Amino acid sequence: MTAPALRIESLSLGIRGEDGLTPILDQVSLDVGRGEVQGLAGESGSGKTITGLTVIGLEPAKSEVTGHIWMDGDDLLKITGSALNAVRGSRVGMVFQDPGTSLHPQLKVGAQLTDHVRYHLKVGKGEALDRAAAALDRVGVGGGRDTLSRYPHEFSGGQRQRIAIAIALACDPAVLIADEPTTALDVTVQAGVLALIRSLVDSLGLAVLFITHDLGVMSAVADRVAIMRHGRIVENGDRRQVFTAPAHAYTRELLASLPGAAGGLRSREDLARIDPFGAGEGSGEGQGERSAP
Amino acid sequence: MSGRAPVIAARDLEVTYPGHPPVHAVRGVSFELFRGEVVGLVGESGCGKSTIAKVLTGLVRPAAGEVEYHGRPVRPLGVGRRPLAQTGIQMVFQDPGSSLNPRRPVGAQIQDGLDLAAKRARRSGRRSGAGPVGEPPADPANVRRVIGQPADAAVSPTAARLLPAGSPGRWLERVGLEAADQSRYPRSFSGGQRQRIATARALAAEPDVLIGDEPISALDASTQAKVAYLMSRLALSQGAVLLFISHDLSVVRLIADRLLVMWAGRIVESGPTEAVWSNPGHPYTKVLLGAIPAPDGAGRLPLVPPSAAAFDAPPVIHAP
Ligand SMILES: Nc1ncnc2c1ncn2[C@@H]1O[C@H](COP(=O)(O)OP(=O)(O)OP(=O)(O)O)[C@@H](O)[C@H]1O
Ligand SMILES: Nc1ncnc2c1ncn2[C@@H]1O[C@H](COP(=O)(O)OP(=O)(O)O)[C@@H](O)[C@H]1O
Ligand SMILES: [Mg+2]
Ligand SMILES: [Mg+2]
Repeated sequence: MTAPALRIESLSLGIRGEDGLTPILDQVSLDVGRGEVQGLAGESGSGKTITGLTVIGLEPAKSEVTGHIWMDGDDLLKITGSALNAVRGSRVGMVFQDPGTSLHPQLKVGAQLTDHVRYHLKVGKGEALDRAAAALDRVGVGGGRDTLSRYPHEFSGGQRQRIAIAIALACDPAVLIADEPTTALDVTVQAGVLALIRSLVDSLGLAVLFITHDLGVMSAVADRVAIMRHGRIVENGDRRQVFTAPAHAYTRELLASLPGAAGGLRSREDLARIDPFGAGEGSGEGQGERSAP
Repeated sequence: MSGRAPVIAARDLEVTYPGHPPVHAVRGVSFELFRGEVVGLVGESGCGKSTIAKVLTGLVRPAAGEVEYHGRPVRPLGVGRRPLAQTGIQMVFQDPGSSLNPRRPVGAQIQDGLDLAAKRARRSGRRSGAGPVGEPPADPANVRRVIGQPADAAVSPTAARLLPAGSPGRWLERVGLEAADQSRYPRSFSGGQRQRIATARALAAEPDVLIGDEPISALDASTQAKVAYLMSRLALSQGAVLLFISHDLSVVRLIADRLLVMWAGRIVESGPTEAVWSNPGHPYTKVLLGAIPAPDGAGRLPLVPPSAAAFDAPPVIHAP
C-alpha cells in the first residue's frame, strides 16, 4: 500500500489561557488517501475546524501542538515561516464554509487566481492567466476571460464556492481540506458543489479531508467517515459501516436523532421515542450550538 | 377542514420591497391555518418565507391582499404599538438572539409573555390560563395525534406541580429546564436551550398562532428534531396553530400535518405532508426532495437540479 497523501498522527492541541491549558484536540489520527474523501463529522465545537486549520499551520494563537502531520515524508508541524506559506496552496488547499473567507471582496476573481498562481508557481503573467481560466473551467464556472474580470459579489453563493475551490486547486495541491463547504448553500446548490468535489477526487486523484456536521452530506461524498467528539475521534471507518453498523455509542446516538438514518427518525411515530429535552445537548455550555468559524 | 373558520388566513398577498429594481418577494400567496394543525412552509433562501412571516405578524405591509386573524384584518405595525389582540400571534426566530434580549434574565422575559396573556385576558373579561383568545381550551385530541400521549404529563417528566402554571419557573420546566434557571442570562445557555426558552417566552403569551421562522436552522443536526418536536408538542397542547418555516424538509416532514412549498414568491405545491413527500407533483418540489442527501451510508450523490426555467409550472394542490 502506498503512503496516504496526508497522515495526521496523534495530533493534540491545547490553547494556553489565563487559567492554564484548555485541551481542544486529543490524539487525533487520520489518513487521507489519494482519490479518497475522508469525512470528519461531529457536533459544533468538537474540534473539526481546528483540526483542518492545524494542517495548514493556521491554528489559533497560543496553541500548543504535539504530534505529526505527514505529507510525502515531511512533517508539516516542523515547517515554519515562509516554507509554511509555500505548503499552503501548493501542497494543501483549503476552502471554508463562507466563501467570503477565501475570496477577497474587492479584488477581481482573475487577480485573485493569478496572484495565487504566481506566488506559488513563480510563472509569468500569461501562463498564470491560462492556469486561472483552466481552474475556473474545471469547477464549472464558465465564461473564461470575462469571468476573470468580475468581482466575487457578482456571483451566486454556489458560484462563489466553486471559485474558492478553483483557487484552492489552482496550483494542483495533492490535498484539499474542505471545511463545511456547502453548509451555507441551499440544498439544490449544495448538490452541484458535492458532485463537483466528488468528480475532482475521482478524476484528479485528489485527497480530500471533508469536514461537516451534516451526516447526510457526509453519506453522499465520503469514502471513510470519522466521528469527532470533544476533540477526540471516537470512530473512523468505511462509510457504509459507520452509517449502518456504527461501532461507537456516540455515533449511534447521533444517528438516532437524525431523520432518514438507519435507526433514526423515519416517521412521526419515531418522534415519540426521542427525548425532546435533548439529553446530551445541554451537557456542556455552547454544545449543541452551531456557529460560524 | 372546510366548514371551520381559519384562525389566520393570508389572502392574495403581494409584497414588494423598494429598491433598484424593486424586489417582488411575494407574488400572490393565499392559505388558511386551522386550529390544532402544524403546517410546514418550506423553500430555499430568498423565496419569501420570512417575508410571509413578517406580513402575518404585521411587521411588513403587503402591497396587496391582507391577513385575516379571527376574521379581522391584521393591522400592519405603523409607528404605533402592536394591537393587544394581535399579540395572540407570536414568533420564534432563527437566531435566538433576535427572540431573546441578551441583557435580561430569561425568567423576566418569560414573565413578559405571561403579562401579555394576562392583559389580553383582562381585556376580554376572561381568566388567563384558560386558553387563547376567543377559543376553548386545548383540544386533547389534537395533542394526542402528534405526541401520542396526553399533553402536560408528557411535557416534563420532572415537573414540580407545586409551581403555579403561569410562572416563569413552570414554563422553564415545560421546556426541560429548571425553575432555578430563570435568573440566568441567555448567553449562559446553549443554542438549543435558548431556542427552547424562546419557545417558552412565545407560548407564555398564550398565542393561538405560533410562527417559527427557521427556529432550528442554527442548531446541531442532532438537536434539530428535538427542538422541532418540543415546539409542535407544546403549541398543540395549547391549542395553537404552528406555522413552521424551514429550508430543510427532512425535519419538517416529521412534525407537519401539511406542507406549503414555496418557490420564487409563490406557493407551488401544497397538501398533506405524506402526499407531498411521497408523490411530489411540481418540478421544483421534485428537485428539492431529490437534493436532500440521506444519512443512510449509501454514498449516493444528490441530484443536481436543472435550470430554474424548468420550475415555471402551475401550482400543484393535493386534496386534504
Ligand atoms: N481561536 C480560538 N481560540 C480559542 N479557542 C478556540 C478558537 N477557535 C476555536 N476554539 C475552541 O476550540 C474548540 C473546537 O472548535 P472548532 O472551531 O474546531 O469546532 P468545530 O467542530 O469546527 O465546530 P463547528 O461545527 O461549530 O464549526 C471549541 O471549544 C472552540 O470554542
Ligand atoms: N428588507 C428587505 N429589503 C429588500 N429586499 C428584501 C428585504 N427582505 C427580504 N428581501 C428580499 O425579498 C426576497 C424574499 O426574502 P425572504 O422573505 O427573507 O426569503 P426567505 O425567508 O425565504 O429566505 C429576497 O429576494 C430578499 O432578498
Ligand atoms: Mg467549524
Ligand atoms: Mg428567512
